[in-house]
Amino acid sequence: MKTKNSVFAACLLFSSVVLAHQPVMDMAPRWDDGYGFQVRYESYGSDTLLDDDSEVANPLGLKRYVNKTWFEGVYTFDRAIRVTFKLPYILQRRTKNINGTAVRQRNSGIGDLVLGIPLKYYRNRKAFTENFSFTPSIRLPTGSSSGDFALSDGSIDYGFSLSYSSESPKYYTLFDLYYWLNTEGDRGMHEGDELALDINLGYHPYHNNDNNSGVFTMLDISARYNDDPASATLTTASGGQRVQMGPVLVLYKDNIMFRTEYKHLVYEKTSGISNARGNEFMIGLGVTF
Amino acid sequence: MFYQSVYLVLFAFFISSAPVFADHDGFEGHDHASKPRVDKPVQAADVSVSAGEAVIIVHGIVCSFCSQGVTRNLSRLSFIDNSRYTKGVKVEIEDQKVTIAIKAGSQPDLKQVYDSILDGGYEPIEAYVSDADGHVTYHKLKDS
Repeated sequence: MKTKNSVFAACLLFSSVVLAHQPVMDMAPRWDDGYGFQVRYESYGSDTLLDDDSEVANPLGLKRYVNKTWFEGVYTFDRAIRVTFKLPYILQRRTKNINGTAVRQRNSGIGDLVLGIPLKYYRNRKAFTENFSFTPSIRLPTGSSSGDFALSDGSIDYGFSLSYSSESPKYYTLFDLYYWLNTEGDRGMHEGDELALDINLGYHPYHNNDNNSGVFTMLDISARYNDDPASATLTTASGGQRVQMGPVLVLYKDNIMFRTEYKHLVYEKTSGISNARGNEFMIGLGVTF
Repeated sequence: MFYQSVYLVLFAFFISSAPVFADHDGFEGHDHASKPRVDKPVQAADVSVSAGEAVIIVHGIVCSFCSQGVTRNLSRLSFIDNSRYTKGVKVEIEDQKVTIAIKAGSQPDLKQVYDSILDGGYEPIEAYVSDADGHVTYHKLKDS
């Protein structure tokens, strides 16, 4: 199993797979003393039960659905140095098999706060800009770790991201590789580490110089590997591997950006029997100053 | 085995990126001390400049949502005519051009223009400035 995991991880690292293009958090603001906010809603879940990568019967109707509303912000000291925060409000529900009985569980509230320091190196060329980023992050346990379906495992976690993006007036690409080191939290809960690679391939079909508005489209591809959580973990964390792919539509006017995204689950392999992640839908609105 | 693979690759990535980040200060420059070089007047060949305006060629300015800082910084300059374009500034991402409207009777300070664009996240390369009579002068701001 470990060997298979290593092979999958190596494939993630060396293949060309992506991350979500977030104009408010990634591309803008890139000016000194710029700042921005974004509200983003995401929803995923499924009543499909997987054993490894095979769908199995689900007579108890086990399911898991998660909705998160993220409040995100960024401040740019200089285009090379930014600070970001992300705080989710979570609404989660599931039907779990407890000793052969289907038990419904539900929880809601503030989740864990994520702080990041994106460090960027830009290169500007004629009709072309690119940047390399290194982003250390920390996830603080601001969510509740109590109850049978906890919002947080109560741990302080550490993230590291390496990314490259390039853009011309018509095309955009982003490659982002990141790793979350999840430490042990309350009550013996320990979500597994996460390794991910995201790729965005974007096309800019329309822009109006006169009123500064336009449309941006992208294909988002993401691959994730999650270590198995400890058996005591009561959050939504689950181990396994998955690849998702889907379209992204971005509309912008002046300093306001609207984004919607659908991610189709192309491949998923769970550790043991678990609900599939399911398809994912996201919608967001951002503004920069 | 898995963890060793992950840490090894991340470490290799970081090491290979280190020179890039170490070079950051030198490249980004934000060299407010360096003054734009003003060359002899020439007629702009490929750039159309209206009277009372200036056109700045800016490398990397390919995304209007990302270039708001340039517009914001330039619009605050005292010699910009905010009644024209968007607060006196028009960004054309297809040609990497920034046009600024200049108040009647004012002279643009190219050092301030240079700093405003640089602080906005991009590299100003050259400027074409037209006076009220439509006479255009060329100014090299930075080596491309």
